[in-house]
Amino acid sequence: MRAILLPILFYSTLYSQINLSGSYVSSFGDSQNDFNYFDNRININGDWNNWSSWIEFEHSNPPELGRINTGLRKFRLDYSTNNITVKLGDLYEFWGNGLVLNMVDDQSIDLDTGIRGGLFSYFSDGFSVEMLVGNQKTWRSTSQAPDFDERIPNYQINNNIYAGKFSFNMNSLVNEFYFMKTEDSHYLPITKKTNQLDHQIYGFNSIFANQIFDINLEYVTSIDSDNAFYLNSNYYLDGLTVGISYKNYLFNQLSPYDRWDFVNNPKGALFIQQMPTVFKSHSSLYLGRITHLIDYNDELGFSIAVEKMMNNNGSFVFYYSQASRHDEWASVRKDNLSLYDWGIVNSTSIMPSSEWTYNPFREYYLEWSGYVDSKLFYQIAYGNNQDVMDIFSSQYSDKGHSYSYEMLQAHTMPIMMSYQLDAKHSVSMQFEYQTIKKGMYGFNSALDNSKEVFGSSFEKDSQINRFISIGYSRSPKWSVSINIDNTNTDDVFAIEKGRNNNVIENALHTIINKDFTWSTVDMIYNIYNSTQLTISYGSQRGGVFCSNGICRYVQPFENGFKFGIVAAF
Amino acid sequence: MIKYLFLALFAFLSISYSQKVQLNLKLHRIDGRKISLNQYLSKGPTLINFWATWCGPCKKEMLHLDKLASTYKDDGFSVVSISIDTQRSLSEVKRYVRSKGYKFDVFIDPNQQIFKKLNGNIMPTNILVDTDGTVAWMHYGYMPGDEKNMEQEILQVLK
Repeated sequence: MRAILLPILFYSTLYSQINLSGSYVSSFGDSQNDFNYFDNRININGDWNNWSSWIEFEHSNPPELGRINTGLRKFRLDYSTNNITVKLGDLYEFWGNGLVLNMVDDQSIDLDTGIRGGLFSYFSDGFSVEMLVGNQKTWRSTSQAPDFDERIPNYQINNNIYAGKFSFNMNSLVNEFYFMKTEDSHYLPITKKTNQLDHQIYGFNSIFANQIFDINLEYVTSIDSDNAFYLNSNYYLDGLTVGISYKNYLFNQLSPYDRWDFVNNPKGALFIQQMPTVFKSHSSLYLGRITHLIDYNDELGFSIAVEKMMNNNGSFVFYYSQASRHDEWASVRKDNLSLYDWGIVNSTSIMPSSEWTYNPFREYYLEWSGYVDSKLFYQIAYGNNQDVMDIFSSQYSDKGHSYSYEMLQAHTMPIMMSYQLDAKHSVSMQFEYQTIKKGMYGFNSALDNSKEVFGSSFEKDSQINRFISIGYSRSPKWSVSINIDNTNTDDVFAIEKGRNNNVIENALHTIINKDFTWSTVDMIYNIYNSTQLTISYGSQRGGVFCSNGICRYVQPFENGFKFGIVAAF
Repeated sequence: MIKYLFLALFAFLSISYSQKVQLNLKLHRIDGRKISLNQYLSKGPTLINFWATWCGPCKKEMLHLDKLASTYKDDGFSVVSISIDTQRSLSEVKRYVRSKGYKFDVFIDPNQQIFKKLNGNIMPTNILVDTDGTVAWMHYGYMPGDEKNMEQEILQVLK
């Protein structure tokens, strides 16, 4: 039967009015430390008058990140006219700024917040209505569930979602109102039972914009009075732009011990709520590695961005962001018993605190970029970060304040340059320099003459990282680059002894320590305009890889090959 | 395995006829409103550019896109720039474009639905669409000098 149906389907499609297109993405990695993967995805899009369809097949065994998947991964059928849209299948929608819902499929960090269901929307020039119903089944990695693995998620989230949106426009003003109800089938590994938990969220979003000024504010609140507020406003002056953003997210107040345990603390921000981070997304390798991990349950903060246009399409950017938790937690005695437990001892509600007891984060970032004679592009930046990542203990007594917490302080300087030799040939250079001081600060007030002590997370007091990449490209066909990543010390828990270095690392050993050097040679070849082949040989340093405030640890890739093909058809 | 071979064969055979973009494709403006791609295609060929604030090559390319949009504006040519920044960093998009003074229109696709629908996979992706929705040219990535090829392709569809 299949032998008959498939040719019929094929020829009827080829000669009918259906327009088909698609893309194929394949990546293969083979390393000497068993970080191997073979990822394949085919997307096929079909359009016929007002109908369109999307199917995605995947054959990933094993994937670079995530669970093994072979077969149909996603599908959707859409019907759309000028006023009506109906969608059935895998939905990826965003409402407002994501305080209510924001469905994303970010393969680079294995983050998928999409739902499978249906959507109906009606819109005209003045107003629109949207309703969606569906089920979200997605996986996350957590040490609170059995079989924890950073690379393979081990805990499934299962939510039924019902949501509605109404919006209307008045000249330069857009207003949106939201409602969402979720039914969470929440599995508790400790009891091995599944509990049913309901969440209800209401919210509104308002956007006003004109030529010199815009403002966007969004507020959502749950039936339990948890809430989130977001504000963004920009001012456009002659050659100068000033932007201010503010966040105040409070969905669940959890002690430092429970803060990241979403398995045993199901109340709080939902996985579908992917809200603005209110700090900068960096293209720098090293700044990306120290990205602040946002806590959507409990975080408030602001950012200020100033961008000044210079001559020759250059610009100067100043960016400052600051955030903290709402509360200071400390060990307090419960009910006059001798038992101590975490409790809230101080709070801030409007502005973030810079006291370490509130897990503060702040970043200064300066960037100067531009062109010289339209041939030389340059970008010079400096980032200064400070982040109290974890608080392990904090206790007030008659003798003082005893504590221990982990903090990161970093200075980063990324520089990028490219020079166009002629119409087709160009050279590029990227250099990054970073110093990191990271470790545990502790103080015990019970000891006489006690001083604050510092225990570094590295074998040395501070880590110095250097990255250099030199590239050559010939438009539009190919480019080649050599990348060298070097450090003076690594995390005390992450040092891999006896690495099997590659040719480049061995050659560099007379200048730099090959045990702390990772190098790759990358080549990109455009077979056609929309068919690209990438080949990479070498080693890549492991570490935290972040995308917009969500981070994952990615293990090192030692001395191997990577191949990638991306093609549109 | 057979179904994947079948799909691969299907893919290569698909090259034999031209791809088209849906004329009533809805684009999301930063201010929350939606407009149809046809509003641009009814005036002339349109270059759809996918970019993000964290993408260095995309930013280098935008300067050239702005020049091309200005040069061929009177011929009905438009550049539609679609940011795939997620909602978590979207505020940077409008600030970046306004501060640079780029003249082309900017849209958002934070969940990458239009990006996937138009078979984008690499940043930046450029798709030149003729007035009837036919994809005249598509290109992945940016290397300095690519703007020359892009201009040649634009001149071809403007003929």
